Amino acid sequence: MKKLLALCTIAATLIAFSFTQKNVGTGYMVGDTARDFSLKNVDGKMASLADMKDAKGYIVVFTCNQCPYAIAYEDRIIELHKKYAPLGYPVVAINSNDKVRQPGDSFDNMQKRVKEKNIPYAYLYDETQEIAQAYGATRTPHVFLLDKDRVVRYIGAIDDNSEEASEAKEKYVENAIEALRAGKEVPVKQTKAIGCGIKWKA
Amino acid sequence: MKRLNGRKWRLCFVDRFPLFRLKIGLLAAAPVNKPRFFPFFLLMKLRLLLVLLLHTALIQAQDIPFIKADQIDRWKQSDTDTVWVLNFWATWCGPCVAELPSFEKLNREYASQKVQVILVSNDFKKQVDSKVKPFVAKKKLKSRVVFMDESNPNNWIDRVSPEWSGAIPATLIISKRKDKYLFFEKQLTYEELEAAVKEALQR
Repeated sequence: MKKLLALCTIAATLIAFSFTQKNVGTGYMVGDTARDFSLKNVDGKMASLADMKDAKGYIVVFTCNQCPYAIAYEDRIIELHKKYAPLGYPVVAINSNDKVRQPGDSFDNMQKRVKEKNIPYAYLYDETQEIAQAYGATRTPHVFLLDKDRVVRYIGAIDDNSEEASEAKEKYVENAIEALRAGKEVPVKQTKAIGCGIKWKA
Repeated sequence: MKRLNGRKWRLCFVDRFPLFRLKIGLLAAAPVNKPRFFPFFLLMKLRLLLVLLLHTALIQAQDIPFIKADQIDRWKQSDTDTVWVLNFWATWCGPCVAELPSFEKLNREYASQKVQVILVSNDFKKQVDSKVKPFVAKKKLKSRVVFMDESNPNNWIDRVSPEWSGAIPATLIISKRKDKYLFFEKQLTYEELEAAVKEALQR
């Protein structure tokens, strides 16, 4: 009986430990299968990856309205969408910032931004921050390139120069998509960039 | 007496600049020995002007050196027993600006100990003169401010810490034992910062 109890305790601890480990997890790594979601788009309708029937992949970008780095990349995100959506790789932008901490990133302000900039891609509101947490997004902009089975193929920056688009030498996301299209290995699978930390709920 | 008080107050005001303490002190002391008809008010005005001039000159004096990623390695490997507190921030980053007073406080309170606070700006390069310098002057930052002059963060973020995703604010504390680093990718309170520095000061 004592042995059984001890065994149970160990098992319970192990289970508890594995759970805490999971919670601490840093989101997806390249090679993981990303979850789908159903989030409110700026047009008021719910959107998910599964809705994009013809997609061969998805350029999921965690971004926002106000972060200077996100703004610096906005035109480049629009260009990515214009170039690759017709080829089956649409941009799916997600704003996960807490509107209490960052009122400029509220849903209304997302709609305003889309109008101002004529943003052509889906711009979704992750109000509960569940998706940013699941993906392991930490900053804006933060790209997760998924293939059509939602396997993560690239995580990181759009290119290697946030300040000057014209001076970017390596276009990480474009290179990754071209590799996917050619059925080749993605050359650079993960990069880091300075960005505004996602404003988590208090 | 009232006037003297006023004078004293101004003395306190400039006292933060020890280099000029003597000069100002002499100026301030001068009228006391002068005859009554001496136009004190003129001298006072002159002194006030001087103080203001010195003040603006001094707060604008903090130049912002540009550093390369190698500097991070040099700090990490420096064989002095200094604790380096590197804070990665930007003028437009709300949480970064909010935590700056904690770093300024640390810089003041640990001035006598071997603690060096460095505020590493991650603003855009073209905004160093137009945004960063005026900000540093306006906030009267006393901690050392430097600008990270690297166009591709992917080349240096890991050198700060492999734990760092690139989100700011972020802080790296290089302890006295140079093989031990404390890294935070979040906004720190003064208490959290001080606790980390105390840990870093131990061998």
